Amino acid sequence: MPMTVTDTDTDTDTAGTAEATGAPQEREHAARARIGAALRGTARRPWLLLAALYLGLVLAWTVAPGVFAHQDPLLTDASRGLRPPGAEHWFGTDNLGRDLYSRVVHGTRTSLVAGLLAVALALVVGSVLGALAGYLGGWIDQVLMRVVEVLIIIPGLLLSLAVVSILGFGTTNVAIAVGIAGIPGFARVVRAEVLRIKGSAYVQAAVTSGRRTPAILLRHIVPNASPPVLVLAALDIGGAVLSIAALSFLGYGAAPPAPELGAMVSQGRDYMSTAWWLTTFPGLTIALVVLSTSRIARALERSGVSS
Amino acid sequence: MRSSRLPGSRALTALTAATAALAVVLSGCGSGGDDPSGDEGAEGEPVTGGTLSYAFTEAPDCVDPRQRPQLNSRTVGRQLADALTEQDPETGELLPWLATSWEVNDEVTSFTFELRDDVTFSDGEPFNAEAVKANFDAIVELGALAPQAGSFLAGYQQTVVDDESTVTVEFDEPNAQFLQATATQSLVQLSPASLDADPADLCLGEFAGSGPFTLESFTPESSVELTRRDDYAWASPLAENQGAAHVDSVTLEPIPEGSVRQGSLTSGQVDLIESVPASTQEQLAGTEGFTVTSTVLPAIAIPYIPLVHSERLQDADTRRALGLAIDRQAIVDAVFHGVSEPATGVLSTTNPGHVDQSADLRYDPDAAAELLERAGWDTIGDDGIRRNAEGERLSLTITYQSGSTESEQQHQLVQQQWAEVGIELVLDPVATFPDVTMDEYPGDIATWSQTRADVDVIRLVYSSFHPEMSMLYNHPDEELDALLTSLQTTVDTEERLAIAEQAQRRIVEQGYSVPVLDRVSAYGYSDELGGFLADIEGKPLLNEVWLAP
Amino acid sequence: MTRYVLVRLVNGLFVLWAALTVSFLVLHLVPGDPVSVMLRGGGGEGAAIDGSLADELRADLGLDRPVHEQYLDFVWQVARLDFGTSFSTGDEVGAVLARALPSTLELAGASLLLALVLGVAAAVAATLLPNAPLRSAVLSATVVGNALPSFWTGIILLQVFSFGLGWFPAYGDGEFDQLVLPAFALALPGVGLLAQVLGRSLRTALAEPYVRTARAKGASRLRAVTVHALRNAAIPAMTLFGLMIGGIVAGAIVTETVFARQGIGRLTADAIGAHDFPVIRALVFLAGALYVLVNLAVDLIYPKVDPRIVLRSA
Repeated sequence: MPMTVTDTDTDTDTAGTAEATGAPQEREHAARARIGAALRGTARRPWLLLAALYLGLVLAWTVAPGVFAHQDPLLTDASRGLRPPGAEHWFGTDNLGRDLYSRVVHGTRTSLVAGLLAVALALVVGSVLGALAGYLGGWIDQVLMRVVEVLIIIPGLLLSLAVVSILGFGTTNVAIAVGIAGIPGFARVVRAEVLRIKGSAYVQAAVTSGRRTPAILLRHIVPNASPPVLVLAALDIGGAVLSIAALSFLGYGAAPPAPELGAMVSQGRDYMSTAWWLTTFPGLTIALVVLSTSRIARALERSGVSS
Repeated sequence: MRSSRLPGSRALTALTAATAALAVVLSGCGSGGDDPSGDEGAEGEPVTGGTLSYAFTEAPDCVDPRQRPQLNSRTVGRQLADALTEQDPETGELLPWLATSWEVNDEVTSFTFELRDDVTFSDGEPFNAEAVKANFDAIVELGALAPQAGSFLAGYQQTVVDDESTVTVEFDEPNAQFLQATATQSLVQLSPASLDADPADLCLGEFAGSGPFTLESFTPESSVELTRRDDYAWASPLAENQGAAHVDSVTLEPIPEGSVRQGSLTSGQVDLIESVPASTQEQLAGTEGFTVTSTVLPAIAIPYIPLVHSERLQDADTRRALGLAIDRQAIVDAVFHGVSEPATGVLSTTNPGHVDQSADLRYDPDAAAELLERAGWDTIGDDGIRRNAEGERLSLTITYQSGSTESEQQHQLVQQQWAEVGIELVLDPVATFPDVTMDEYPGDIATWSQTRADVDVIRLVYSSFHPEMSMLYNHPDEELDALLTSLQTTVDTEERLAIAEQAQRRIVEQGYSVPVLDRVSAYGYSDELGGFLADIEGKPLLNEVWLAP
Repeated sequence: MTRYVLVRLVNGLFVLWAALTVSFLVLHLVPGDPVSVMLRGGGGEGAAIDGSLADELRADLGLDRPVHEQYLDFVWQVARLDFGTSFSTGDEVGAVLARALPSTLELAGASLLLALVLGVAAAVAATLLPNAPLRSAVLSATVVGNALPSFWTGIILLQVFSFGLGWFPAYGDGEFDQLVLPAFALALPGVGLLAQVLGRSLRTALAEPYVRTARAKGASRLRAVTVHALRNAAIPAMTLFGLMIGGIVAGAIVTETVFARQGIGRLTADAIGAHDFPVIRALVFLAGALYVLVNLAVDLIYPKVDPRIVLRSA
């Protein structure tokens, strides 16, 4: 998974001494107030608003592609091949006469669902590994963190490629491959958070009062560790969509005729000089999805869920 | 994108990357495309000198053409080494080259060649009967490292040196295809002094041939540089220039991306490119100052092959219906922009054994539906797909190697055409094929490509003889196998073609193959380049090419 | 200090060994037989293969032996930095890598340099420009740069600067002008990331008391940024830059595919497609070693840049 800004604090061990946090209730209240402020602030930030609107549109495409694109993305019609963008075909047609706009709408759906799946996988597996390592400590921590390190030193795309070549082609497999490459980021952040929270007064109090480990993990640690993890997840969606597009560009995505944005860019390359729209629209759609998610994730981060 | 470096024979992929062919019907479309002959490349008298810059789709990993059947290795090999015979690109007729004449015994087991006596290898060694013997012995020695060449020499017994310039090659059993094989780069002649070298070093070009060029440098999978051999004087019978090459040197560089390759030509970075992409061929031909020359490959027509071990394809009517439900012209137009030809037979039109079977290869969905009804696929479900009495859906899977946009688009178009008559086609792209014999080939439908300018190619592909190359392996059709076996014992051209015709008719009648199109490959070059000429497989003769100053 | 380096190196070696073991095991689960890949060779037409010859080749490669024996052999080979011969070309893996490496080193060097220069410039501009809308415009541009799919940027660059304007050649290795477009395409995401991280730390550093003191003592804003703040803001940027070096192999896979360069990235994609185990292992080793060494180097530079940082071995 491409790097996101939060991945950069590698020096997680020092985080254990971070500033003391208040009691859970207090934090929750404060968080709600901050989100309210963030919403009010949105109106003053037009780019954020645009990003939110675009992402809303894309999510709507994902939920109900048929409502937004009336033409069949798979229907070929050789007599309508390579039409430039116009009133009938907003984004033009490809050489088999398929409507590019419909293909982009359906392709966006595929990419976005895969991206969310990848991040969900990374989040769940990474969090479990990180929480176990951070809370249990000792040799388990050592072993788990070495495993994570192994995942880190193999470049993400190489790792994903290898995983796809084992699992076989297809959107789900690509999502899994990208998700695996995203595990280390979550594992590290969660571990750091857990170490921080573990040292806090109220957790120490819970331990002394004889609460059992699972209860402490669920009652105190998970709720308090989640805000930064969720921000990381939000930031990672863009990266995951990019990685999935790259894999599908390299030819590892869904089996045709299913449309997929990366594969559409790749196929359009034969027509770079004759039909610019074939590469331009799918590529632009990916870029805007990544841009919007990262804009919103950043706003979330800044409006202080974690700072 | 990635032009495949994979077991390409099992997918159309192979062709996109590796093909090239012209010569046969040199359908040059010069600027504007209206003047097929007069407007190609540079005009006037050939000029000596200059460096030809030539863009490949993919650089070879080995330049010993005996060890690599891939077209890029053969193309380089053609410039470095000569063969005993040459094939006329128009008729397929065998012409003398390093061998001036030949005789075959009645049993088709013994082949005697008379050799030229004025030929030397680039290391100074003479070409003679001893050299030919050493070459054939060395190929058998190479074994698995020279798979194609080895198969041409199947049943090799020995080579006998009759005198300085006469040599006889003997086989255990009839081997009629051997004669045409001597015209392929798989059996080129190298200096006997080179033959003892380590096969890996031979791959890197550490050998001397008798060709018009010598290897200046070679970086596997990256680049090749050739230098003219000044004392060359025994060019192929096809060549107008019987002496040394016109250009001083040649540099070959790989540019896998079609559009990038074409852009490099039009922006003047290279003089000659192979595999002009179908999508932009018309554009290039219409560009002032550039020429596209294309031809049909002498091969099997690119087919869909209904796998006879597939449960749903046991019935010949079902298999034949697949062919009648394919609109070949629509595929050619939409996917290949009119630069390939709808198939008219089991073999492509430029293969010497081609038989016109276009009446059987028509687009007729009604007839297809009728055949399917007759075969028991008579109920159409809510999804539009046919079912038989057991309720089984007529759903067929094609497992293919990913990487070729064109073949993938072709499959998508066929998917829709078949759906109209109630057949479902499921596309299953894979990165690498499992290593299985033909009778365990995955899915229900296969695609295949095999180039050889001889009818023998149908013996390899459509018999039951070879585990990994023959479609009917373990499911023999005895009538067909008998016909194909008799090809090996027949030397007379007319007789061979007659047998081959019967075999091709049987293949279509039984639906063992659904030929779809004849692949066309195209070269593009600027008007600075003159004398472009290619052999029957489309490989250019670079000693003919010259560059306008 | 020496002890710190040693501990880190041993740790790094251990992780490398683990990565190689994982890659060894994982690759043995992959379906598809490398022997068939070898015999059919690349890209072209099929050739008749004899089953017994395939077995012979399998025996030559040691592929017919039990997995644990193959593994022990493999470990011993790697320990001597011998990665065997490539399945698809039959060449020494070392030679295969050596052929691909120069092209990628060139590309990596150029793109990292470009990312560094442009990234620092953008960060400084986004902090220093007198005009607030201009500052935010620079900032937005860096965000956009980071969001573009690099395969798409590559294609757009080709379309505009090579096919359209004809300023740069579309393909090839070796010449400087062939390097410009791919280096830019590969650098772009890094520029955005670097500018954002550095910009953020710069703004934090500018608010620190010591910078304010410097300003009060009469240092110009430019001087405050370049001399005082930049130095202190460099730490996160350096970490990021280290990660970018480590990620260059992954980036090269896409960029080299788009620009038809014969480097490590292209080799990676081909080797994975062809199940060329020895080459893949060597690539994993190369990428892993690069990661370990670069991170160590970055950690060792920290104290030089910011004397408050003290290295301790865990």
